[in-house]
Parts: sequence; structure tokens; C-alpha cells
Amino acid sequence: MSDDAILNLRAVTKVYGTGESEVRALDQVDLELQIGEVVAVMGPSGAGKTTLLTIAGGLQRPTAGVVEINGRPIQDLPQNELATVRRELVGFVFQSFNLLTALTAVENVQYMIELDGARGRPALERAKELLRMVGLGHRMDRLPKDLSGGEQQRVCVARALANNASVILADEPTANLDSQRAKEIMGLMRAIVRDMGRGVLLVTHDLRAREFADRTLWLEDGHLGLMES
Amino acid sequence: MVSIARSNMLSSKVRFGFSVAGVAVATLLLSFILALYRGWSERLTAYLDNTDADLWVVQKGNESFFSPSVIRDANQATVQHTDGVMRMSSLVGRTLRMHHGSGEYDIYVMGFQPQVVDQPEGGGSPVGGLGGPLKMESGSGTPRPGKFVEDSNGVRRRVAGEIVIDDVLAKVASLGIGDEIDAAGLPFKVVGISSGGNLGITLLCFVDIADAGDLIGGYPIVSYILVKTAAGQQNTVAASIEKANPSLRVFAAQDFAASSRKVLQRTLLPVLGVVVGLIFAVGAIVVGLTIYTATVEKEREFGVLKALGTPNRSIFWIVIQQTLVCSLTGFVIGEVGVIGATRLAPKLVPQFVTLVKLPDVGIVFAAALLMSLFAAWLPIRRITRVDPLAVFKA
Repeated sequence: MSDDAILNLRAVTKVYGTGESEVRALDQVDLELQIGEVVAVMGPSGAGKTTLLTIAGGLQRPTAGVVEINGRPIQDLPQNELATVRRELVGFVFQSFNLLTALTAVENVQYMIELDGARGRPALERAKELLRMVGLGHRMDRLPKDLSGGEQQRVCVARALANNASVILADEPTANLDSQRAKEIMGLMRAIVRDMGRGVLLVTHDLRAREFADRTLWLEDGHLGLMES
Repeated sequence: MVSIARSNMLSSKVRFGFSVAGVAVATLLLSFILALYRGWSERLTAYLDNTDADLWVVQKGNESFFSPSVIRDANQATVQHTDGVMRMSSLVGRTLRMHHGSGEYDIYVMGFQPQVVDQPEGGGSPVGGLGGPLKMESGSGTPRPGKFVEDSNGVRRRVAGEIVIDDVLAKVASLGIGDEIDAAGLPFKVVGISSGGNLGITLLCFVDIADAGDLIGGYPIVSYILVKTAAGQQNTVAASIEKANPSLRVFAAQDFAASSRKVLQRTLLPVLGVVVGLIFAVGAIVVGLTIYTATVEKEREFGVLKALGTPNRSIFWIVIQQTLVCSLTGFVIGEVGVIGATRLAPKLVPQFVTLVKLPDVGIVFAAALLMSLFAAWLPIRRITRVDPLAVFKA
């Protein structure tokens, strides 16, 4: 394992069901993500990409194997500690944005900052700064319903950065965007990795993601390998 | 600080309004029923608490002012001559339907002895002066009895006796001093209007004991004997009266009031308990359902919160905050409403007797808090089952 690895999966296996209905979603998967790196995982539908992402993010436990974030094994942690890991060490970008509909753009980001312990004006100022950084400084008081898909995804990216997590996990972040907006979001994440010293693991069907990724992996039948060009 | 609960409520104001309205109505009803109950409890025995008598002598087996008591006339003399009795006054009471114009009114007519006779014939303690109207608002508080006279044609007719009516009856029946009424076939003329005789379930009116005797058919009986004793002699006098008159029971005035209240409590409290329980349930269900519906609608967002690492207690707190705000806002509106209702009700229905007590406001506040906790329980159960993995589905 490299010293710069912020996310490390070793021999991770995930099995759903038992007996004849058993499905091996991940089989002895190894993956390493380093600071400043964008790793894209591609593969057919149902290949286990989202399973990989949720295990990496501490949302479910692997059947076997080790998952480390910043060198800390998380695979055996109880649920409340896994929640702490997600709150402090991981940022999520979702396919459907998943913004809180009753909160404005800035409140969505501020909520995540406050969840991490900051309060009051500093939290608000930081939220505004993040939104300006993703190019939404002029629409931060809008509710999600008043934002376009691309704008909502920018808010989602800002929220993922709010807790200063080193690991950003992105699940099909461009799936609901047109090609122009998709390029913008991918470029934004590339810039974040470069400028802020984060690492991004993204799972996607979008072949254009390869342009922005340092490595592109292929996941099929539970096995992960380097994607051939 | 960002408040998801506040934002959720503000984003669906109509639902929030329904929820608050549900609690407000429940609070208003709870408070109003309590105020009614307190009012009745206080007013029911207001007369008994203020007759200035130390002892109430009643027929044995009689535990309440509101059940008939029949005492032989002859017992009065025995009581009057009991050692330690400083003054004695008899009462003859009955309920009847009074007529005035085209109206009919159920009243409790109390015959008392308005004049104090310090040296009665036959000796014994002074007689009279106890058990009359509590507070005179206008006119005379010492009604004179009616009498039969013969006119110039030799026809015998009754000259109306005098009656002191309660001010609530005066309002309800539009009666004033000088008006004539008919009570059980006997004419009476209103000479005074008193207050404090609205006992919640009946209205007290006062006549001379001689007229009350006519109202019960002239039988040689009285209903109660009120006794004032020498200081510190209550128990001794009570025991002496009971010993000399085995058919009588003697209560200290405050004990007779308490015993009379108990009868109301026994009959009314179980019914009120059921009504209060139903109102509480309706309030909790209204808040519970609206918050539950809001929770179901935002189930995915609660999943997002879980995925982002929000601790369960913080998520539960969002729901509890919503139910608390609904319940407490509803409580405040309900309490303001009940203050208005208790002021308005007696104007519309003068017989209404309500009393808002601070401890009762506390009880309703506690009920509102309980409502919010009950209402939060179901949504919280739902949230505990939300799987954060679901938010990864498109």
C-alpha cells in the first residue's frame, strides 16, 4: 500500500443471498485511491459498481476483506461509528443529487458543515465560499427545485467538500446531465482533486469520464481490473 | 444554524397549519372541559361553603346536598336544646319547575328563616338567620311569606309570597324585581336578586320557610337544620345531636360540602375521563398522521441524511422538533381560545360556570407535550427502517 493511499480495499468480497440465490457482487477486489487521483470504475449494469462504492463509503459491510480510509480499518465498525466515518472522512456525490428539498443551496452545504461541528456565521461563510468555488455564487439562496440539474449537481459537489473529507465517492454523477453539463461537472471534480488535495472514486457508465480520470477500472462479474483502451 | 425541521414545516405550511389546528382544537376542548369541571366543583358547593353554619344536620343515610333529606319537624326542638348550640336555623328545599310567561325553568327553592329570633318561645338557642342568599345584588334578601286573605266578596285567595332569585335566573328568564312567577302553582313576587346561587346543575332561589312548607304540601318536615356552635364544640355537639336523634346524621359544614362534591366526582369524572382520553387521542392522531405523512414523503431525504452520516438522534430530533412545534403552537392557540371561550360562554349561556386554574394549564401543557411524543413515535419508527443505500437508486 502506498503512503498516499486515502482509500484502500483489500480482497473485498460481497455476497448477497445464500445457496442457489447467492450472488457474488464483488470477488476479492483490490483498490487503492491516492491523494490527487481520480479513479473511474466502469462496467455493465449490475456489475457491482454501486456495491463497491457503498462499501468504500461505509454504508454496508463487506462479506470479507479490509476497507481502510486514511489508514483506518472500517469494515467491522458498528453502525454509529460508520456514520461518524461518513460524516468526517467521506464526501458523497449522487446520481440523483439528493439535495434536501426544503433547504436552499447554501443551507444544503451549510448543514453538512455544521454536521461536522462548525456553527453559525463561519459555517455559513464557508458554505458560500464552496458554492462560489463551484460557480454557484449567484444562486445560493435558491431551493433545489429552482436549480437546473447541472446546478444541483454543483451544490452536491460543494456539499461533498463541506466536511473536508479526503475521499469523494461519486455515483454516476453525470447520468442526469446533458453532455455539456457532464463535462463541466467532471472538470470541476478534476480541478478539486488538483487544487484541494482530495481523491475521487467515481463509478459511471459515461465513457467521457475516462478523459478526466487518472485510471479507469473495469468491474464485471465481481472482478475489478484495469480497463483496456 | 440550519434547521431542517423548521424548513420542512415552512415548506408545507398547509400541512403544518392542519397539524397546529388539530392540537389547538384538542387543547381548547381539554382546557374547556377542565375549566367546566373546576367551575362545577367550585360552584356546586359554594352555597354549602358560605352559609356561616358549623354543622349541617341531615337525614341519616344522606351524603349529599343534592339528594332529598327529610327530617321530622319535631327534631328541630331537640337540636335547639342541645348543649353547645348557639344558633339553629332550618331549611326546607325542593326542586321544581318555575313558570314565567311562556318560559319554564328548573330551580331549587330553598326556604329559610330570614329573621333571627333570639328568645324563641319554649326557650333554647336563638333561631334563624342561617342559609339565606349568599350575596345580594339588588332588592331585599329577607323574603316575606305569602298569606291567604278574603276579599270583599268573601273569596279566599293567596297573596303572593316573596322570592329572591339568582342573578343567572334573572338573566335567563328576563326577570326583575317586582315580577311575578308561578312555582308549583303558588304565586311569588321577586323582591331580590342574589348572586352565587348558580350551582352549575341548578339555580338556588330563596323563600321564607313557611312558603317552602306550602311548596312541599304542608307536611311537618324540614330538609336540613343548620347549627352554629360554641367555639371548639363542633364534635361534641354533633355527637350529642346524633345520640339524641338516631335518624339524623350531622356533618361539619366543610365535610358536607366535600361529601357533596364527591358525588359529582363519582358520576362525572369517569365520563370526563373518557371524553378527555378521546380528545387526547384525536389530537395525537392528527399531529401524528400529518407528521407521519410528511415523514413518508421525505423518506428518501432521511435516507440521504443517514448516508451523509447524520446520527440517528439528530434525525429523530428533526421529527420531535416538528411535533413539538406543532403541539406547543397548538397549545398556545388553544389556551388563548379557551380564555376567550370561558369569557364568552357565560354571556351566551349564563348557566355556564367555568374556571381556568393554573395547575390545569400545566396539565394541558403536559398533555400537549405527551401528544407530540406520541405523534413522533410512529414517524421515528418509520425512519429507523429507512435504508441509506436506497438513495443510490436513481
